[in-house]
Amino acid sequence: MHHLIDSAKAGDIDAYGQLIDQFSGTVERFAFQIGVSYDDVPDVSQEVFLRIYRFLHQFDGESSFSTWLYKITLNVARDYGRKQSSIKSKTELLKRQQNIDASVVEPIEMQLLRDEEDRYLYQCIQELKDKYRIPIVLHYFQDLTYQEISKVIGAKESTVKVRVLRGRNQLADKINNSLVKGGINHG
Amino acid sequence: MDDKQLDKKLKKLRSSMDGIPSRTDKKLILSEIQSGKKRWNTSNLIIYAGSVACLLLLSLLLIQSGTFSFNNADDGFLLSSEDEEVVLLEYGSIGIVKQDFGNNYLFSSTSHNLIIENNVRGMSENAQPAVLEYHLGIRNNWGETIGSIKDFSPETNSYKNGVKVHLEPRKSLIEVMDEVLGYNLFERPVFYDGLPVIPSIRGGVYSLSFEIESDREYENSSPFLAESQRKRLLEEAGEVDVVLTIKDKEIARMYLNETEMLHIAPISDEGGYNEKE
Repeated sequence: MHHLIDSAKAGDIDAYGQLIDQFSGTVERFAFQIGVSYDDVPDVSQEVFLRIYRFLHQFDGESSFSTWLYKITLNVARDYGRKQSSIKSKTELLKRQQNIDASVVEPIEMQLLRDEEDRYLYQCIQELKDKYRIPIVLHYFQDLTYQEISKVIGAKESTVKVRVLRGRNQLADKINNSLVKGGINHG
Repeated sequence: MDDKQLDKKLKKLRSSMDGIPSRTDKKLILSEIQSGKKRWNTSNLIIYAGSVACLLLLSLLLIQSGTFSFNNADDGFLLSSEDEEVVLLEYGSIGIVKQDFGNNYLFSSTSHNLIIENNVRGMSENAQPAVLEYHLGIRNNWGETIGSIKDFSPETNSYKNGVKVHLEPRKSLIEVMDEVLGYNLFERPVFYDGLPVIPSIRGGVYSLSFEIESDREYENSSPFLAESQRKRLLEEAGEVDVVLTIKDKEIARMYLNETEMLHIAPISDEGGYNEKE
């Protein structure tokens, strides 16, 4: 991988293409897992790889490339989220004006995750606060260690551990509450 | 729900998400990068050209309004800003001399007072007052003549747009004048000689003389100064600012004692005056 990075730094566009092949799946999944809507994932991924190329010369190789990749993806997703929340509020206003019931339109994410249990858990994760959701995703879905997570989010390792634990507890509580209320199918 | 159950659910969700196909458009990204490079090269060229143009423009603006700035006056000629580099005090000469006006005293600005005083006081019309005299060489380093000979005013015997030079004594000289003379000599009429224009590069010479001993308006002042008093006065005589003005607007100010070529004429043994050069 390092030789691909070096070649890309030197201007080898094909080498960069190979890096995209290698990491695009990771970027897309991570973006989706932390809450980027499925429709927007390709846009976020494109912006991530453009940004990485722009700043590739700054990558010194001391830290892990994947850590750097997660960090950039997180930043792009946040920027995108800010833009989209503004668009979303305008779209919802438009829908209300056109008497379209938003609740009858099933989000693409829900169509994608056909298993009801998966859909509910995904929704619960998205309901967590950022500070819990991101460590949970990185730890359970991206297999990052606490140390690696601490580098991505810029927090102490002990803080990461606490956040993963609390996030996990909150998830368990949500699922338990839904079971008490009569199942997860209403979720 | 126990930990194991939650872990199981999380793993299941992860597997579902891992199955989502990649939709990143690699070709689009690479073409964006390629076109971005082209744009970058073009914009670099534009930035480079723009920078050069900006530098040129900035240089022109600096020349016009900065260190070498001169402001257009109402009447079309140029006034320099307060810049000592443009107008330079090249040399200065100071002395206390017996001034012999001869037949030209009528042209001196103080001659009228002198005649009246002499009549009142009954002094000889051939009285030769001592004067503190300054000769100043002022160089114009600017590419244009400073000042103008247009609009001569016979009432004030001066040129409206001409350069004028006056001296402003500093505190130490004022104190010495107060101690020796009992008044500020520089507030008295001055014998002035100098052109209203300073030609470019060549410069001009200005002479200013201040009458010392003929003034008897002040009771505390001595009619004639002792040699030690003259020496004392001469020692501090360089403590003046040479000020150039046009239309009463200050265009340059130079400290006489800082002039590299400053000559203070020694007091001669005979009579305690400098010999007039």
